[in-house]
Amino acid sequence: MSYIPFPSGADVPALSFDIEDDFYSMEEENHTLSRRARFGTWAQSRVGRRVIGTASVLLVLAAWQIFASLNIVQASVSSSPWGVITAGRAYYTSSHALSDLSASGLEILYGFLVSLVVGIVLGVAIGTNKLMEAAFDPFINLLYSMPRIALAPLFVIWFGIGMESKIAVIFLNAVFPIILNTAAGLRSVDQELVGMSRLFGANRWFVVTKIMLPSSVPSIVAGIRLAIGNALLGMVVAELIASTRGVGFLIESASNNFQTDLLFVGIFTIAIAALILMSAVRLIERRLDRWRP
Amino acid sequence: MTVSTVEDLPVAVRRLGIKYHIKGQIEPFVAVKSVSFDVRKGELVAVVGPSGCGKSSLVGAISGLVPYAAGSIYVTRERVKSPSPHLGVVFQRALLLPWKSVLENVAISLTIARVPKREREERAMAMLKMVGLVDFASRYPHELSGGMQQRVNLARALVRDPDVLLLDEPFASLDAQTREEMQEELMKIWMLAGKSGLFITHQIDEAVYLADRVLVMSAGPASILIDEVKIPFERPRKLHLKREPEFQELVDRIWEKVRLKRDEVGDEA
Ligand SMILES: Nc1ncnc2c1ncn2[C@@H]1O[C@H](COP(=O)(O)OP(=O)(O)O)[C@@H](O)[C@H]1O
Ligand SMILES: [Mg+2]
Repeated sequence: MSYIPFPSGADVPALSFDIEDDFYSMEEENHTLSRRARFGTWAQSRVGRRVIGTASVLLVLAAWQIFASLNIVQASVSSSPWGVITAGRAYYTSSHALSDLSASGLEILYGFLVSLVVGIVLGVAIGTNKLMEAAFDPFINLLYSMPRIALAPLFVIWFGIGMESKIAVIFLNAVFPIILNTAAGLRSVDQELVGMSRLFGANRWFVVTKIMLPSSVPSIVAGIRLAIGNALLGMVVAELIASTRGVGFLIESASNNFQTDLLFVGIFTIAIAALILMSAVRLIERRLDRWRP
Repeated sequence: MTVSTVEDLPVAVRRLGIKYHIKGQIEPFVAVKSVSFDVRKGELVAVVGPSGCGKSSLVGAISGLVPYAAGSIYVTRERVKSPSPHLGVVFQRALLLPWKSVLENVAISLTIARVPKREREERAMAMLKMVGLVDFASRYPHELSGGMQQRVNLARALVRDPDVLLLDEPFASLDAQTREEMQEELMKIWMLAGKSGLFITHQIDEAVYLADRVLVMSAGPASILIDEVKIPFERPRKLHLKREPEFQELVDRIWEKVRLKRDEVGDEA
């Protein structure tokens, strides 16, 4: 399909210097918008986007189901939406579900909370203090640019196959985007705003907590978004390596037993957890930024 | 220029020099060379000078934010080393915290000083009343026009009840009509508040309308004060004073001085 700059059917209006004439002809055009152009505007609206998004997901699921029922590959390998739903129902009514979810959930909770606190504290230190920046720079550069997930096996040796090693991997994955975004946010705070508050008697603590951190909310939230993805990645990989419980363990054991349906249950569980965490962040951001127009 | 002892002077500036270190340059940049003047009790002194001559640097040094290389500054007899609590500053940009309500913005110095919430809000409300923004107390800054934001800026400077008010081109970013309204407003508030103050501007008519004395600064770098003009008009001054020939004469006289002396300084260098 070629790109159509003007609604099809409408002629490109001739250049005219008569403003009034042009104005009226544009209005008329609006009434005679072609069907395709009207669909285009609807597709950009909120409701339109939702409807189209849902429809395309359903379409893919339907295609997957049809593909599975054609039996080109074995059903146990290809899996199917219906198979996943059946396996999901069985899994979520078993005792494994609670055990896996609580293990993974607690790992994420602890790992992420530690990342948040450490990330913001270090980010503030680095963003406001040249000495700290210079001291931490080599470590941060090295650890940020390398695939940190490669350290996961090391952490299993150090911390065992229990929850501690997972928390350590999650922390190492999630903390960097928070540190870097917090530091960047603080460095770009309006210095005149800082000067204003100092003039009215503010000390360093007030400047950091009441001027600099609130100014940096968008940047810190962007870091937290990246951190959530990284934390989930860390959790799954750490559990894949060595574990006895957790969603990663579920995926691992389903894979070992060629239970493709169950494997997808694990994958969708993680995907849904990611969506929930992201919307939680959006809610918190809205609350912090409720002054914004 | 008459320079007395610092006794009882709200502001005393003596041989003030301000330098900036520029990255990659060995020689520091001399913004202000040597400036001496006083602000006496109840007086509003204006400083005029071309853009970039060092007016904001002067305000920064007096407010204790910009370190100065030479000379001394006294605010209410205390040597300025860090921001003085006796000072209220009205900035060129409104510099309001966008996530705080207008009331909380006005009260920021009281919040910092841990004044109890009730007293804080009462005093901030009184200031908002003075600048005519009571109905906007719970709004956010971005919901205000430029002129209203500058009123908040002024109210914030006054809420701590400082002895001295420093105003750095507070109306420069406003349109002509709003600026005149604000000048008239400041005239009224000045009569009420009974402060001493330093008003920085590059608009000569604004200086003549508001001030008791106008100090003329030379163009930078290494600027100095080149003249002082006394403004004889009685307060309160009405806006139509600006249309009077005596007023125009004074403005022209100062304008001549700014231009003439600037050329002379240029020849010297
Ligand atoms: N932080 C700074 N670093 C370096 N130079 C500065 C700084 N602030 C001001 N200057 C220089 O000092 C001179 C005076 O600036 P400023 O005080 O802002 O003038 P004005 O307020 O009269 O326009 C200008 O040449 C400006 O470039
Ligand atoms: Mg300036």
